[in-house]
Amino acid sequence: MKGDFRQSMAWLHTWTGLVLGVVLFAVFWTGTLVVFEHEIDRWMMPDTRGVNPAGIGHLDGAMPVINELAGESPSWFLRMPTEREPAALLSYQGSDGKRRQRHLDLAGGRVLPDQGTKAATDFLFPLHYKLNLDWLNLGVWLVGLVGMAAVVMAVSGIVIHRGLFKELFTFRAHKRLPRASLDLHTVASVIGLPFHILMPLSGVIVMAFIFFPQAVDLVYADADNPSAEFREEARGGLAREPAGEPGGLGSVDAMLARARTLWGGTGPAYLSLRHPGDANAYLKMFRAYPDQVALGRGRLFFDASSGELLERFSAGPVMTVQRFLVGMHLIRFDHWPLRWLYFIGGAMGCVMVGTGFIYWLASRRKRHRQQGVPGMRLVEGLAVGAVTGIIVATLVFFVVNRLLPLETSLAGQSRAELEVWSFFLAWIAAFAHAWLRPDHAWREQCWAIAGLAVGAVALNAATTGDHLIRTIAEGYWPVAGMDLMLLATAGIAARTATVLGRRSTTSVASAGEAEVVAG
Amino acid sequence: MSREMSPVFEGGQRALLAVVGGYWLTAAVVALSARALASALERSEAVALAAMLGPIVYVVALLWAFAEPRLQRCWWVLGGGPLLAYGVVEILSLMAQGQVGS
Repeated sequence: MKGDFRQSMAWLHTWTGLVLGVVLFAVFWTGTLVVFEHEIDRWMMPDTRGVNPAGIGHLDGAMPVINELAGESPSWFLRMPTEREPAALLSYQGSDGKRRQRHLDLAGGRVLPDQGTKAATDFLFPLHYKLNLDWLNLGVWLVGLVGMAAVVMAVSGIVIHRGLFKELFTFRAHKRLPRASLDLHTVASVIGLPFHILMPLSGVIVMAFIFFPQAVDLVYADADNPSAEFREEARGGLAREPAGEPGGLGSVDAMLARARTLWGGTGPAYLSLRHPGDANAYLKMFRAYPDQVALGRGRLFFDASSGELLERFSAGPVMTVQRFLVGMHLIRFDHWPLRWLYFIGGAMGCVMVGTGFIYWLASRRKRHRQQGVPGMRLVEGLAVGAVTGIIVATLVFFVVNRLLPLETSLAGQSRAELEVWSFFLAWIAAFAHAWLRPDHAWREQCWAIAGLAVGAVALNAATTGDHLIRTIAEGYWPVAGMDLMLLATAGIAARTATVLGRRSTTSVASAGEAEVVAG
Repeated sequence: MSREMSPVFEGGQRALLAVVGGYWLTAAVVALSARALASALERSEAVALAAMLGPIVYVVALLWAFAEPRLQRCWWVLGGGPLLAYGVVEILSLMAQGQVGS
């Protein structure tokens, strides 16, 4: 654009970061958190802790409970229990027509008390891929654009950097902020480069058929319902209409045993019963993937009353590649070292975006202030809200989860909705705080993070009795890990706030140390 | 023309062409590639392959919109290109539905 390839890439890198940085950080942050979504869920839903995760062999015994909840629903969907998610989750349509979800203890044959929270799987995870924006599917498209922008940032960043090998080992923390933050930005970007490129790309590929429906419409132009027919050919499907006559349900445990044999010993992750109580009812089973990356090599359809296997679907080679890329992004496999590597990659991504903001501010502040360039204060506020702001909002979400009694509601909003309100109100407040107190915002929000994180740990101990000493002694790592992570966050935030306070009372530009953001 | 334009105004045009024009061009290319591949692969496989390559095509379009020195060229390729490509998609689609003779 300025006649020089490198210059145009530098311009592109800077402006994309400024325009999309807030959303970029939000997607990286939520993505990093939901690597451990099940552990966060245990922390936020205490009644699901310590449930016996046995599911197979207990389905027939649990059917009366399931029928009582979902018997009137046109279909129900059951997430089977696992080590990390020991309570089963039943989704169904209530008598009022609204979608409902309840946690079940299958082995014990009982319904768990309504936890009244969306927790990580139902709030932080959707926030990651659609920013809670359902209107016209805008959220999914915006995140898709941000994903593509992330790849563009990586490529333009590679073009404008100076020396890949040297940069891996350069972090001059003692230098002034512009130099130090750029070094940290480069290190975080270069070390995690394959991750920072593959995650956005695979994320977009998860939604590939939503983003490119034109291909489906053209290739299936002669079909009545192109997208339905494509889905059936690509992912397998059976659409059997209800017969209108009553029918029973055979032994689900027997069907499960059959499925396990067909799947070489692995059980299902999900079950779905369509048209319960009807003669044409059928049970769909979706394989679990503890042992492989690709998601979607096994779907089974059983006739509900006879248990007869109606259809067994296996994806073609190209679709298997797509399912592999999806699996690479959603990481449903059981592999702790890999899972931790993903978490570290995500955390580095957060550091990358955060230091990108800090570098821009630190390197432009003096010059722009002298020249009186407008918008500087806007960007400073955006940066604080984007980075420390969303962290504050997340911690408020955790704290409110521990504070609100079950069955709370206010102004027509359920307890789960109130938690979500607290997240967004806190985030907005963080932006407002940043614009009102630009010289102190970074430091004060760091202190807020430290206080809230410690508060969350204390509240967990107070409200559930599962304090850190007990959870570590018993080896209950989901909750222990969450508490330890919260304390680590508090430590890092407090240290950052102290350093920022020591240097000067003015903003990031005068401080000597970049803020390190870790999950 | 580019030399007198403010960088933000020019950048804004390129951004619009990249994001919107680039998307429509990519989507049309994906659709046409899927159609072409469907003669060699099963339909669902052809669509899947084309759709997976789409994001890479889009990233290339996004980068090119800012790397190409001549703004006018961007307008032709990312403004006119989608119109042309979509025209072809529409004709093929109507043919497949049996409404236009080949």
